[in-house]
Amino acid sequence: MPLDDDVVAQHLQELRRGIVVVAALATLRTPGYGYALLETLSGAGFGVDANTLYPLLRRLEKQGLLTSHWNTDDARPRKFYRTSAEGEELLGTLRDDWRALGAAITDLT
Amino acid sequence: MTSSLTDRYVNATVRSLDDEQRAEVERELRTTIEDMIDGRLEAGAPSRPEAEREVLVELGDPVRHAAGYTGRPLYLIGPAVYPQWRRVLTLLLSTLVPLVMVINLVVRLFVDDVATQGVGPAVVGALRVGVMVAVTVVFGVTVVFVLAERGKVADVELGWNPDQLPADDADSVSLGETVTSVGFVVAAALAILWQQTSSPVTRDGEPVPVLDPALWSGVLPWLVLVLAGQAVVAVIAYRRGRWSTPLALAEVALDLAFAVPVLLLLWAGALFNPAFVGVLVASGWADAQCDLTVTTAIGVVVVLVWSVVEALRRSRRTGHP
Repeated sequence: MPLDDDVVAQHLQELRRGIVVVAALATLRTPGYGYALLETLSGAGFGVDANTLYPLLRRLEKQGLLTSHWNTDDARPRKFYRTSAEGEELLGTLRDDWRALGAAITDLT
Repeated sequence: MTSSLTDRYVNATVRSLDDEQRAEVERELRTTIEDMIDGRLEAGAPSRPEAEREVLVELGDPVRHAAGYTGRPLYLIGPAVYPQWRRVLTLLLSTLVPLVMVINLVVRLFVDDVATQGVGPAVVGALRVGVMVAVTVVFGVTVVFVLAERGKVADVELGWNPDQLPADDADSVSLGETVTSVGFVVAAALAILWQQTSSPVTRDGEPVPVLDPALWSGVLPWLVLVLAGQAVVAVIAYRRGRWSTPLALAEVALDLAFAVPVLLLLWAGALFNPAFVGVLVASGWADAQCDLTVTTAIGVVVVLVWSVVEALRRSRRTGHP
């Protein structure tokens, strides 16, 4: 029986749910604004919706994992985010866990 | 000038945010929408209005979008309180609604002019009250749980513990079963009173009691007392959570204490009010006495046998006395 595409998509989405945070923290070590991050992430294969990403950025900011400042030099005022020291620390922890999980999954097979 | 779709979208989204967030989210959201529109135009969208529309569709329902910022739930009853909501609702619907309906029916049978209207209006009225009570219960319980959901009631208060497990069906006494028994007994007791005061048969505008009024000095109070005893037995069984052999024997004794006097009176032709039978005969039912006696006797025996079999079955399934 061939795999049902919907089932595959659903499981992939569940598997990737938390990884957007890792990708965002890693990308924003170089300061960036929301839309640019959106483009970067979808370019890198992390499909994430704008209406999910922006609230996520605000939540990370509130938790002190991101810092932000407004850049008004441009024609459009843009809010730039940057990974904070705490964000950097969390990123390390998440990456270690990711690697450990990867190793554990490999050992299982 | 009418406001643009973007303006309306941004306003709809930030409306529910608190003051602290609103200005900033609004500013950021506007820039994002502009960036996304430009992105689409570069990718070959035919016109700006079309690109704008597509972008807003992609951003999705403003209420959902805003919930991402506020963390407000997008449901009335969430997974945290749903099991308890369902439990409370089931309990109330299976107990309160039938109880109110039975009480309402009995009261209406007393109050209504049954002789001219029959029992139809009373039955319809009781059903209507039942539906109203059910709707009110569902609404009220749901409102309380919606508030509990919003109020972030601690898990301790709405939590679950093993004591709430439904008792094992094989030997437990369910609330529904108990309410049915008690409701039946109450209805029977009230029917005995009702036939005296509000008999469906009248003569010269006066209700004619169904049962011989002379029996009020002897067997009728006894029957009401026996019915009360049955209600007590049912409640005790419920409080204990299971039937025991002594309880089942008490039930059988009470069944017999009810059925035997009634059958003896029927045998002697002394149960029904002679005046009542007289009215029926006068209205053309020649064999009223015989028909009523046979029907009632069969009814009493059927109920007796069913009740005794039920009691024995219960006492067997307890497994221990």
